[in-house]
Amino acid sequence: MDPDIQLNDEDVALLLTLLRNGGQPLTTQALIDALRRRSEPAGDRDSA
Amino acid sequence: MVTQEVRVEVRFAGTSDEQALAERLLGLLRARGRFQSAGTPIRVSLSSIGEFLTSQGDAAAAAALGAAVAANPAVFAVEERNGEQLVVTTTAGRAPNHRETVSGHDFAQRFMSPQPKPERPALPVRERARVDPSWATLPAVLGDLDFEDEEPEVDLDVDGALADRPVDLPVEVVAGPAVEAPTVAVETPESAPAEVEPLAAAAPEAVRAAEPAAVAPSAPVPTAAPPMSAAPPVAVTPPVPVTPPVAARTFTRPAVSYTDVTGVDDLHLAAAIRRRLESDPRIANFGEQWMMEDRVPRFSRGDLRRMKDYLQEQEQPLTDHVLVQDVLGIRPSTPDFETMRFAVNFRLSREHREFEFVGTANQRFWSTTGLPQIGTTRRKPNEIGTDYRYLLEEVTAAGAPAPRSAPSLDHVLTFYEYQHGLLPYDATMRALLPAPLLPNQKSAVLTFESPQSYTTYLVELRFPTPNRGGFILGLDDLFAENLVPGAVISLSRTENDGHYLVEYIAESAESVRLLELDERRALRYVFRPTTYACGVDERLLLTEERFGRLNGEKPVDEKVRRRPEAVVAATFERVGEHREANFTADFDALFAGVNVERPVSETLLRSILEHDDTGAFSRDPDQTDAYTYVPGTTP
Repeated sequence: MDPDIQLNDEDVALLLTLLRNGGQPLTTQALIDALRRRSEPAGDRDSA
Repeated sequence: MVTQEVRVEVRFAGTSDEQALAERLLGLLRARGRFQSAGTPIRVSLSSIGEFLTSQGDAAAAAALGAAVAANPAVFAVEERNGEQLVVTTTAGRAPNHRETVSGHDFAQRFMSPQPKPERPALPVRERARVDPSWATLPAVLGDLDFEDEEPEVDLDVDGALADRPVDLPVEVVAGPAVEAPTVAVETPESAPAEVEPLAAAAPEAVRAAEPAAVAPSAPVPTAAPPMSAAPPVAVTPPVPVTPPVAARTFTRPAVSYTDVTGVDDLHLAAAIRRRLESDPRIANFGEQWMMEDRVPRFSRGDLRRMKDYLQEQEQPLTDHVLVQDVLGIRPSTPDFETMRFAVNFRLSREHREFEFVGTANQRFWSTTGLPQIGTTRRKPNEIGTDYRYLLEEVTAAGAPAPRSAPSLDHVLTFYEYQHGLLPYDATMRALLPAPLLPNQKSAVLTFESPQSYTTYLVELRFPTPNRGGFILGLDDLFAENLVPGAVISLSRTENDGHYLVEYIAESAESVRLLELDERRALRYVFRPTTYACGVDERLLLTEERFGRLNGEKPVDEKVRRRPEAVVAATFERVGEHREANFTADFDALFAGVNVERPVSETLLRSILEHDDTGAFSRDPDQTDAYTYVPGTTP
């Protein structure tokens, strides 16, 4: 995996939605967790 | 007032006897209702009238009474009440008609039941202008297309070659506007790619039907020409602009795909997020926090002025926590406290002229202009930074360690550090302390807690610049009250990256004569009896026994102290043993002596002694770790 990963427009849209829905400031770690949750397989997400 | 009764003439029907009886009957009824109004019904039972007539000796009239009433329905009406028949008329001589009470137009009812509001017609639904979703991925779509391969080779032969062979043109080309038909808005699920089928493929029959129409304009039409038998047929057709046929394409829209971040660690992912979001004006960022810019509360000029005034009133940098609580009056228990803290940090970071961020990620201090300097005033921060310039080269050569990678460090105080109440920002300190939170951050205010003296000190970490080294200011009181030059201190981090514990080794008190700088009259080094109760490194303890020749010496001139080699040479003369024409001193004494005048690391001092090109310094072969200096060859 390339360490210099580039986020595409869909990723940014997800992060913007997350920030719009959040009433308080979000940390970078919260944004990272959101990207990771979306990358998980559906089964893992359900079990989580 | 009615003074005259107006009699209305009534005409009766029936036979003459019936008319006479009816007139007599009407007279009776009018007499009965004499004082009633003209329209009020007068009711008298037929039986009582019959009895009256009989009593008058006119029994025949009583018998014919029913017929006379029945013959004049316009004058009389018959009602039946409780099994008795009543003849009814009015003084006007008309049978009372039943009048329905008109209540629909009643005045009171109109007040009580107002008319309902007129209903507005429903507004037509405005159609929202939407950008076709396929445009969002247009570059990807165009990138996937290979125009050269898909361009059909069509022979535009105007001599009728096209007419001889079947032309398989898609209907969109011929129909003109139908070319735009493929703009089919397709909502695709995220998981699967969606394909937009061409219209030609969907309706092949329509294509076949359109073929003659497509071919006809480009071919000669014999039937359209006038029947001229003498003249040869002219087969020349005017140049018809033929639209180059475009093969039906299948637009494959890529599925909505997120970046797979499964194998990427958090550091690289955080860097990727920062790269994309940092320059986005819609997003507010401070440190590791993010928020939509339009949701960050804004402050008026008055709010900003009050914050600045409060900072100047307190005469020290304050955290965002304090500013929100004391200036804005928001309690930490309120739900929007964190949002206001972020707003303070984000908004003040845009006010470069008035405010300066001097905090860390966990402890966000803000400063403003006009605050007193933290730490010593004996020497300017820029001069101290110049003294520590050698640290830049050392850190570069050894490689900068990761910030906050070390949990603690031990350090031995030199005379210079003790005198100015500072610590060097060397490689070990870099490994303990945090890096600047903001790109252009010059300094960070930290809190150093001394559990042994129950005191917390506000210190300032000056980050290195390209030509000045970094250092920590503000430990004057801690050093002067508890330590001596040569004391061993320990710094350890806490969970808060802006708060650290500083400790020393507590030992039994000892009294010795130690070196001091007498600042009361002329600046001179003197030895005074000193009592200390901390663990020391004997190598750097400046006792009178080891460094007695420093007594009464003046600090070296500023021009000399700028050059480490010159300070080393002067130190040889102060602390070295005079042998013949040379001075000999061991490395520890040199290290302690040089650090009286200016900061020098062991690495730098060793480098000066070992790599001296002038030959002034050389290793003493007779002693262990000792060096000699030849006066007159000062580098």
